Amino acid sequence: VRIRALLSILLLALLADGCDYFKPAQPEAPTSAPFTADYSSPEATLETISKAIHDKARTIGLTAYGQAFAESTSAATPAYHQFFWPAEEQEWALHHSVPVWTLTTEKNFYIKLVGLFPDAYDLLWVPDQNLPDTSNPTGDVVYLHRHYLVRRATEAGDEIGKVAIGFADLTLVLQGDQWKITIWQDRIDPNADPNDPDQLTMGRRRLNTTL
Amino acid sequence: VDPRFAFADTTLLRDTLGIHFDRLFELADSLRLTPDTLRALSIRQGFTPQRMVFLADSLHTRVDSVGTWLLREQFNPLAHTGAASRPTNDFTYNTTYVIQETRSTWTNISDYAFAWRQLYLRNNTNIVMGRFESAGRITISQDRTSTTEAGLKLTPDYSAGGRAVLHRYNTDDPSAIRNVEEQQGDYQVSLRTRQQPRPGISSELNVFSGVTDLTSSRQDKHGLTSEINGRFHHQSGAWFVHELSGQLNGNNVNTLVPQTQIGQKTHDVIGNMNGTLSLFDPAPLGFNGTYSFQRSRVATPDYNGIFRTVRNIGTDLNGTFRATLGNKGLFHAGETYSLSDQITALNGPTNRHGTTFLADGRYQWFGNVFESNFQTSLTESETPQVDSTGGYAENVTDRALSGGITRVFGKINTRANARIGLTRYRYATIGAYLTPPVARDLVQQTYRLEANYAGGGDFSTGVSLDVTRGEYVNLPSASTSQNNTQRIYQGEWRWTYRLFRGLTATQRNTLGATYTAYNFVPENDRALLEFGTATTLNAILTPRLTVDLTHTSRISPSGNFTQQPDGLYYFRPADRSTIYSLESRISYTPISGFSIQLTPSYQSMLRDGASGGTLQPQRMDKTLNFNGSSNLNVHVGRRGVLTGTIGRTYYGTSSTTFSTVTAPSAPFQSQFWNGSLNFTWKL
Repeated sequence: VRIRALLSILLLALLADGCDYFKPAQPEAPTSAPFTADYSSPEATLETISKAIHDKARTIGLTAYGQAFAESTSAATPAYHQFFWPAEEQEWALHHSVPVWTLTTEKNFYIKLVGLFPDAYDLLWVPDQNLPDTSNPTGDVVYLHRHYLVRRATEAGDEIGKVAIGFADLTLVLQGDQWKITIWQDRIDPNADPNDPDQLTMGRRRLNTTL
Repeated sequence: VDPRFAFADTTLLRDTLGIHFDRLFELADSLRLTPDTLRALSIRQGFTPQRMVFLADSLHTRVDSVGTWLLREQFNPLAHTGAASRPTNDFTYNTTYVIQETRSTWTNISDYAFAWRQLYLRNNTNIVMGRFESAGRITISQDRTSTTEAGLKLTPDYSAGGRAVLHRYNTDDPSAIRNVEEQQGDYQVSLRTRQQPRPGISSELNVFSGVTDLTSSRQDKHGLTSEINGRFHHQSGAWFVHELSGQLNGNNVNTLVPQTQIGQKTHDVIGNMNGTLSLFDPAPLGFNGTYSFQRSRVATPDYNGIFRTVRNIGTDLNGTFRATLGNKGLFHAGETYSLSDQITALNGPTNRHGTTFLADGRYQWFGNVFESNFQTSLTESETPQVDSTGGYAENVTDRALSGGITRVFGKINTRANARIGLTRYRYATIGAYLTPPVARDLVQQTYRLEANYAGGGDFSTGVSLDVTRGEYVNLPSASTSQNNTQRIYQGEWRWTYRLFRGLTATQRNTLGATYTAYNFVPENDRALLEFGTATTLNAILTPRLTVDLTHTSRISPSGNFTQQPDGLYYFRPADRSTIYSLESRISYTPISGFSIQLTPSYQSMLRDGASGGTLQPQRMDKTLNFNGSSNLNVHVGRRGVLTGTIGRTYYGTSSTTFSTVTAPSAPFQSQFWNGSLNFTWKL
């Protein structure tokens, strides 16, 4: 009887696979040529995030942005986690709960961020001059320190205003042939103009989207 | 040993802080927790996993709720059942200093408890000071909270008193327009009761009511505040256990925004209720269920000083049927339902509801252990006001089926696992919203074969093969150029041999290949190959002195892998990274509870790029790291304990870029303190 039960389960599993229970839908043929997402190096992953921000979810922006962050598929692969600037987190915690920031919330944040202003966006990454990039001994984990600036721009590329400004201490892990962000530690840029309500860190923008 | 645990990651079993994790994997499996979660809970509370389970059983709560339970009961005078005539006078001081490269925090916690006859007094003070550095600027923050409660224990089941919660917060964060300050004082009368009308039924009901006084840079609040919380426990024989807890907070205050000088009377209500139900727990057939309900309505000024109401409703229902198949197997089937409804100031309303069906089973048959798991879920959500034009609805379907077989052949453990999963995302536009997320499907199929040989003597070895196939399918035509299918093959051979009594060698060799095929842009198809070796020599020179030496090499070429006119696929290397590293760890323990560790490491990384059809050096990085630290776990006097690690890190890097002109960059070096020290003192 038990053997029959086991065989039944196996048969059900095979049927489930056979009746397209796990088959993806048929996609449409591509009609336009959006940007190419590239995660072959840590710098390429950051460049892909820039392109995704510029894309504003019009083509493959959300997909490309989401794939830049690590998704844990097993106990051995780490998942993406963002840590807020401690002073901003504590100030936020006075009146709201501070969310645990993972890939799901990051994808929602992308949608909200690119919809904040109707203008075109640019994301510029610049290495932090005070902290050099390092890596682990085996070279499959790198630690990058970058200044970021998300700005609103005209089609000609002239800046209209800022959307986010700050520093990010990033940990990227090589998963297969792709570099994925596993940790984003947000830091303020002390030179940001505190009187400009749009010169917020990405961490603060993330918190604002939870309200 | 159950063959299912023959492949356990033994790095989890290292002794930390004197806590042992005996039978961690079996215990975690029986609790349906991951082993690292159970280990983390044990370390956080300072109890062994067995002690955690005992406490959870006796408190009729889940293992991950034990910490919350103990914290709450610290302030419950009715929980202290010592002899009334014997006074208690306990004081505990705990200080922790954590220092890292750009940030440090110093936490001070004191806890004082006094009880004599019917009188009780309790004070808990928590001070956290932070120092954070970014781009050469320092940010300081201070967060202080003091909770004091005093009163009379009228009977063993009733107490009355008062409590004061004082909170101060300051930071000079330059990202804020001005210094962020907050002063809050809550002064309340407290009434605690507990009832046990008959064996098997017990309850607690606590009421706190008083005034609140909040002054901050964003809002001032003055008015009345109340909290009611309680628990109800009902147990009937061994077949029925029901635990219900709830809390309701409310306030009625005058709120003033200093920025705009606009004031308003606001009413905030936050409530939640949680329950667990177990039926026929010791029987072969049983049921476990949990339910929770949360509701809140809070009026709060936004950063422009305009009052907004944030509403939140959440419901979660979870039920699992359990069947034990003799002493050889078990079967679970469960259904989960969740609902959340939220209205926020910035994003308008959102609602989400979902159901999940789960089934898993395990059966041992003629030395084989069969395991299987099936899950399907459907989640629907709507965000109708992403911006002024509208929003979108999301529909996510997730399906997964996995199975495995484990068998022991004498000294050889073997295991085979397979999994298939599909996640579907579909979207519908609400209003005239132009940019909903892209409809897409994600498929993943994996299998893993592995075998371990544990000779029981000086030699052990193991091999494994992982194969993964993933499909990323965007559906609309504007997004499908990025669709791809990825095939990953990874093989590993590892061995350990004890060369001499105090010298062990371990080697791990890996081979991997990742092929990414772009369904509509085949000229972009890529391949990445990986060859890696890590060799470790572990020498125990004396019982107090150990030395580890690890050499690692990893070579990974990658490039296009495309089909040529002759019908064959050819690999054209575009870049190659070659990494060599040497790492040493010297650990010396002169006395029990104190050890010194020195960890020097050197790494060189060469990156080659294709130029003119051949690979040429592009960049060379060399890094030297040195970390010296001491680990402490010592008693200071009879009542103090000092634990933690403190050390200094030095690192230096240099890089050279090869192009038409070879350009070495200026070497960079840095050194800083890092670690965490904790001192606890009990009176």
